[in-house]
Amino acid sequence: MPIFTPSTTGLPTHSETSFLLGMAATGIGFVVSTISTHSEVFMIQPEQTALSNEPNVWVKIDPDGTTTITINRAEMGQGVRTSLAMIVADEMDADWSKVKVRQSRAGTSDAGAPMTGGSGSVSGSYTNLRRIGASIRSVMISAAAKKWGVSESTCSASNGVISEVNGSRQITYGGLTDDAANITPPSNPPLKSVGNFKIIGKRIPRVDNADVVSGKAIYGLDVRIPGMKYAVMVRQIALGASIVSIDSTEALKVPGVIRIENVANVGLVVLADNSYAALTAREALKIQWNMGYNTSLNSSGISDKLRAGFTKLGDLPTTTAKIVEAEYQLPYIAHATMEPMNCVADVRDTTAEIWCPTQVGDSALSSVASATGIPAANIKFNVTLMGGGFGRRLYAEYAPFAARISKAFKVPVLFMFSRKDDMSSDYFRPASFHACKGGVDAAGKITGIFHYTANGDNSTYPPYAMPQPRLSSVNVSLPVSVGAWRSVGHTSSVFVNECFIDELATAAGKDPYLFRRDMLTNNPRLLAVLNKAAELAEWTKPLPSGWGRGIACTNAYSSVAHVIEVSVSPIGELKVERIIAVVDCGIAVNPLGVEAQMEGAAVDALSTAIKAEITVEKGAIKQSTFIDYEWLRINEMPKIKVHIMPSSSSPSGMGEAGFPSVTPALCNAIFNATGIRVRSLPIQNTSLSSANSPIELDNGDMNVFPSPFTTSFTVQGQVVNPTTSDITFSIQNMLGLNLLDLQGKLTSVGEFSQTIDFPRATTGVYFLTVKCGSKTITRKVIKE
Amino acid sequence: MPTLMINGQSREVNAPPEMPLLWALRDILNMTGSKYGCGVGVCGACSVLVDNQAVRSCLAPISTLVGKNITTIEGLSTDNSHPLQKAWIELDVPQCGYCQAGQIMNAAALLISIPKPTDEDIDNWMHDDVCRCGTYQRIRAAIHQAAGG
Repeated sequence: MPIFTPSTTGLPTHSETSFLLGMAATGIGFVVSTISTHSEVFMIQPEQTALSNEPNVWVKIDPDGTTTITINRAEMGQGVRTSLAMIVADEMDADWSKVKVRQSRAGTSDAGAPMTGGSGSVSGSYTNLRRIGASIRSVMISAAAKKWGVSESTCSASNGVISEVNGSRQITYGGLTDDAANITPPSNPPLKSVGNFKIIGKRIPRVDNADVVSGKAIYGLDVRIPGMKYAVMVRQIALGASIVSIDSTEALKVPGVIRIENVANVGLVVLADNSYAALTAREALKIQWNMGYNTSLNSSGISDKLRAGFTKLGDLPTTTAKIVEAEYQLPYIAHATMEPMNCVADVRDTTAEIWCPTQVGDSALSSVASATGIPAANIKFNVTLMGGGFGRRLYAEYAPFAARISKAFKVPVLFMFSRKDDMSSDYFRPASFHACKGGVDAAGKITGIFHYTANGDNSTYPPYAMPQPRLSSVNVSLPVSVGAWRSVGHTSSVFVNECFIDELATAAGKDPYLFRRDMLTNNPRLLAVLNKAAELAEWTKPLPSGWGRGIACTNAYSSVAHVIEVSVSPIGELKVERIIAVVDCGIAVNPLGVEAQMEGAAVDALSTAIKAEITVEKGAIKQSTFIDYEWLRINEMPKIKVHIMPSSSSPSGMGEAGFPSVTPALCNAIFNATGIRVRSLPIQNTSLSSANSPIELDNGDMNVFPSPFTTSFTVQGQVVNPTTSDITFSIQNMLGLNLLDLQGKLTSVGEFSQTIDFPRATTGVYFLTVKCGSKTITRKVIKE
Repeated sequence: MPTLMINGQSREVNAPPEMPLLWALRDILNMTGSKYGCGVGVCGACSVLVDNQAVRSCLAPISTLVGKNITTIEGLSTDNSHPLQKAWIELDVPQCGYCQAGQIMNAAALLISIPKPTDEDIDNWMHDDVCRCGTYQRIRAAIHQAAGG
């Protein structure tokens, strides 16, 4: 049963009576109650602690109608503060223009901050949030009926107002707060039929937009409290490296530096008056390192280790007419949230207050309590907006770090990772190796599939009617920290499964769409999604020369299919021409948000499919920022068309669903365009030029050496019949993004020679373009 | 102690002259709308206007900005009435929102320079700004809408 306690800290203070409703979800359904008094506000605590996973939401209605909905799932860009509030507000028949969203604090003094992840917020809370809303609507109807002395059946609710049916009386929810306080909410209020939704299903811009575009939104790094100092720490420069000695003479001279000391269970910390001083002083530290035991570890060695345990896969049935074997590899990838990890902590003797951008507020609170010895009940733990999450903030090690630093130095601190710290000490999506073997019979039907993986995921069962895949896996121990990354195991399993299905379609001589379609007859929801994607993409319509079309689908989180069209030039320049994305996520609570997740996840997938990877060199993470860990930019962004299947089913998750099938659809499209199967990511490391592609020599020709190069190369060539002696050299990545421009001159006979430094980019295929007047010569260059 | 003209107000900044504007804004003046994303000028989250040109505030020492007009996201309008802010809200551009102040300030510089940009103009101007959430399609649409197109 719920425990009634006076509110001391839970909600904004107010002098007039407000109506409050809290809900505790218990194992046997839900209990709802409300108390509001004139002098004291009460709210309900759940019987279980807030560390439980049950949603626990308070709604407060002020006399002016302002409706404050407390949300206990954290916002990292997935739109959860908007979509969860929409669910409550719809069943309440609230006036959406008066809805405000409040973020719950972690712990039992508030609605808690259970884990936000696994695409579970909307899907897991949908029914309970509707019940909360419906209870409030029911209470408001009862209150109005009592006030007017009429039957509840003659009162109806709409847009925050109760109206008397066949009468003229109306009263707002705000006008009913006193009366509502005396009504016991029903424990099992009737829910609306889907057809009566007024807010759910509407395209509603997110509630934080106004604060975001005015610079007022508060992320973790934006928290400012009186007396606050700024702290950074020294991260290890290689996996397993440790500090031997430190000379902080120069660092301590940096203006604004306060102290540089070791903090137990954190490391070497620089405390300063501002971030710049802290970061500058840390760079000025002279540190002698013991590089540890991993100095010979590099990415190719990791690939070898991942592959080493693989011998061979089993035998296929004798009906098999064609056998396909393929090996796939995925690199480590970083979360690289725009806002680096950080936390503000103000730890006093017996109490503390924390401000933290985290997906796991309740467990972070527990770790702060353990780190400081202060009971969780005495710690006020605020969850801020997050500048991106993608799974990184499921690991809140930075919260106890901040708390320990504040405690040690006896000051409030903002503790932050620099961008480089953030990237090098991430919990990466694991690098993995996969080997597949499959067969088709004479009729083109799959006879069997084997899928072995080292450190990847193969447990996602392909959605098709076919013999059950035979799975095997090993975990190779490596010193690189790994963790959940948007869509987690599906980043590897769906990539491999959907590429390999495509390979089997080719072996069977079948169209890749029809091959999938014919195996989805028992899966009508995904079948409808796949068919819709093919229809919207005009699957059978011929494409221009050099173009290709690929398809992939999955049941991960929601039912999703992607069709991607690419063009690949004869020398291997890739352009993603357009993406058709179709999703069945049940009822789309906020279609604008569902589309945003599909669009954003596609950018994640294209970035990590084509360009971004984390590599290890001499035991150290090589990448440090967005120069060498390259994300898609606006001029590489294809047009994405998102179609949401109409549905009245309960919603499924959308935070991750848009990712998994993009990468295989892209690789399948590249195969369709070029005949090249890309089985190792990122694609940038594979040359997409057709082996015997003719090179247009009308404008001239050039040679590049050395090829491949590491940091610089020389280009020599000649322009045919030049009209000017001015030439420009430029380097583009595989997607055509210009990365470098240089001016040069032709000799009197139209020749040129230039050495070009190109040290900063990641490895892979790039294109050198020489322009002279209207003449252009482009050649592939490969950076190692 | 440099004095800077920020959003039309003269502000004394109690910081060493070499401090980049980003940290002076965020840590000295408590104006946290401009964001730290990389600190080396490659992500764009810290973009502000200096005499109507987009500048990476993480790379601009405050000593170089004396006598110039600095506009930050906080000064673009007082009430979200700038056409870019309105379009950003209406088209629901932000996801996590962290990079959007920088995106908007860079877009503001674009519209000052090219009032009616084409898709290609937008791509050429905005491609140095990272949006980790991938809101590019909506950024493009919002710039067009703000330009009245």
